[in-house]
Amino acid sequence: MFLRFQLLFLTCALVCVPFLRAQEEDVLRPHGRPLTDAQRSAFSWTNHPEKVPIALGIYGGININSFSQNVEYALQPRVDQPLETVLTTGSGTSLLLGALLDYTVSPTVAVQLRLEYDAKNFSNSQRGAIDAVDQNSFAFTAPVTAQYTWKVNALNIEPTVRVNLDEHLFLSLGIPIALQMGDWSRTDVMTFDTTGVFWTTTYGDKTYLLSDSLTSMSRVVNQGNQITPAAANADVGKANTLRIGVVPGVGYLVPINRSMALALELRYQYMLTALHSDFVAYDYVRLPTNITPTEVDFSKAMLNSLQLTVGLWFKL
Amino acid sequence: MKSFLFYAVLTFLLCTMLRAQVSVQGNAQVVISPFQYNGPEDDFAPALAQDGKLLLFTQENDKTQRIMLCERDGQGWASPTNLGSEVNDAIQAGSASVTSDGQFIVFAAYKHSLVGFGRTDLYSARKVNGKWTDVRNLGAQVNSEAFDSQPALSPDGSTLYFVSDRSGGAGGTDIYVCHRRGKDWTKAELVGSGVNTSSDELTPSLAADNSTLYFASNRSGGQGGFDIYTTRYKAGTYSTPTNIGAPINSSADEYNYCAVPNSTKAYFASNRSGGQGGIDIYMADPNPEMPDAVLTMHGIVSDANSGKPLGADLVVTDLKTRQKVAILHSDDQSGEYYVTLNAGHSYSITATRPDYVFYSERVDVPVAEKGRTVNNDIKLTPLANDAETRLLIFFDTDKAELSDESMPELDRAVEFLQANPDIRVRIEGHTDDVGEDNYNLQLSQRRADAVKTYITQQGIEQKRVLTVGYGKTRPKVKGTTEEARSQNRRVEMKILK
Repeated sequence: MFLRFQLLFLTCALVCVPFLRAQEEDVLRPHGRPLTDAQRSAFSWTNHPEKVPIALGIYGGININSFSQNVEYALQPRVDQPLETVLTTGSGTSLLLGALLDYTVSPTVAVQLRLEYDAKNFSNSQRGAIDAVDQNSFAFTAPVTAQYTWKVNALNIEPTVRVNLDEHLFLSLGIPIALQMGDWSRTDVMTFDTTGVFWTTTYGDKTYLLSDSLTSMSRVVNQGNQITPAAANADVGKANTLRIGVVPGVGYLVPINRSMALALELRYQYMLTALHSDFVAYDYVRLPTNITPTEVDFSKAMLNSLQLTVGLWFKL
Repeated sequence: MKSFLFYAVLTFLLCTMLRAQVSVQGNAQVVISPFQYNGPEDDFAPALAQDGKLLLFTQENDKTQRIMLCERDGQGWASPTNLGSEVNDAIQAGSASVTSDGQFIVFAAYKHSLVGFGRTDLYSARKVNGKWTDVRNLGAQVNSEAFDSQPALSPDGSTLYFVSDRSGGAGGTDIYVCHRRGKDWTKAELVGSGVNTSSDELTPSLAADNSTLYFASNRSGGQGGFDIYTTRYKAGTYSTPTNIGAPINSSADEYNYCAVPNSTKAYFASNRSGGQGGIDIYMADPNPEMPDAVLTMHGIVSDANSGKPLGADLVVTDLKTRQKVAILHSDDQSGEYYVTLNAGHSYSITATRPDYVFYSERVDVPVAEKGRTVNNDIKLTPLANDAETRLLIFFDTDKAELSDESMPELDRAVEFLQANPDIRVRIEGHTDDVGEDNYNLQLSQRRADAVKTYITQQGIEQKRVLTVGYGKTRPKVKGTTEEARSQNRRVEMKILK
């Protein structure tokens, strides 16, 4: 992790230093080059003649989320299609809202401070199997569809460097510091293919009679609680409530008038910190048939997002 | 009565119309023509030297400003050349101002390779053996942590105007002034009220008369953007600045007004439409605000024996005030020198160079000077036995008392003897052919003795200064004309090694 931060810092320094050397004053103009007539009538971020070169912005958009983690069995899984592997991947879209403060350092470079409400939402479903007991007390492997929906919200504080490529196009590089808001929640739903039979399972410490009106069961798992089907203990799988990443991006400014512009941005939020810590769980799927549980390792739960936003930036 | 009133009104109207027509014609006569080497980006800060033979200006390429040099030949201006890497070794370098001899510049640079005081600073450089070198920051007396730029040297290099946005000014960028004392500069002072305003003042330029100051300002009441204004500095005060008017000023920005000495022409810079791009340099003819005429003296300093051109210091001294008003330099390679002298003053111009005997010339510039150029070559004699030079020593008729005007030359003789402690000199007095031989012999001896007395009073050993009076026995020029007699009434100093 430390090495990754070092590399990130070095990259930022290499990108920024040449641009920070760019001149803003010259021997004739103590405050830099004046605007051309065209620039005077337009919103310009490469020429910032205002004595306070600060702008404010608000923006909103969507996260296209991508979740992944490693789910590895210590021994051969007890069924051919273990339910836990539904947690290997996930995807979804969610809301992103933010505000920024932009300070022009030179005609080429600006620094920003962004504050974002970053709602993450992703899910996955997959066919699986679980032990069941029929009305005759015979155990059998029942096919089910496992599905989860995971929600986690964060407040991001994000120092960013903006580099103008021309009057409209710019690159940005941000360092998001994500502070988790409340607990994350994950809703698991298992839908049985077979109905009208009685079967029991310890899943969720409940016994279910499947009928036409009850074909599925669900539960909400919060951080610190056990994971499907049962965690080794209650403390594992804790969320990392402070996560850090990097957000490279490209943006395009469309002037609306002299002091306002529409900002279109495409950014990729790559988080260097995992969503939760690694942990070990046990597969109790064959518990009804008294087959010993096997160890399942959950690790590297990474959540990254492609961010599409539209914003309005205002010069002060 | 009615008829009288009718003719009176008619006459008044005709006079008013005629006056308006003359004014319009007067302005319309100013022809504006672009400088032939304007580029697609900014070209500004024209500065002239060597009687208009040398032009420095700032040219921008790829948003990088550099100082360029043009020399005038028989065909006009030759192609511009970069002033050199030592000067232009900065993120931005430009706005050079040059002394009339073309041997010393002060320029502005943003982030020069030499350590500065913060933002844009002022630097100086000298021309040595054809190369611009000896770059120096002008120091804390002149520069500040703020923007210090756009220098304007007086022709003799003794006064420096420049622009700064440091705190304590009138607002925006203001014009400051300082003076040269040897190799140092006095503390910069804000130029007096009326010149600086709460608006921005930029690009001062001091004309050859050492009095007319042009500058640009965006103060209210102009024609738009920055306009050129002029003020005259006399008796310690600046006159109320006046807008130089159209067609030089326009709704665009005008900067860097530079009057050509003893000429009707002036250069300036403007970003008006129709140019090559950015700010361009233009020439205006005639200059509607011409400075006072000056006398320009130029020539070649050379070795009296070999004829080889020499680089030498040229000290210009006001004989009335006894102040050294300028220290200029002849070109190390061509020996050319240029001195600008103001009307109504008497000067001595002394050429000095190590291992040579100094040489002085008296120049009287009349109050009614119309503007002219005088050619005067100077031959320096190598420091050897029997080498001699005429001293600019003045006596009243039949008197042996040293006049005040003689003191600068006597001081130079003292400096010369102090700088060459191994030599002795013989002061030789001469008279014209008027008067008795014996009387003239005694008079010339008394005069030589008076010179010796002054020199020895300044600490020079008596044994190093001999005297002799030749009377009228050794005339410099034969003849009985007043001009011949004037040349024969003299005191010379001969080297005895």
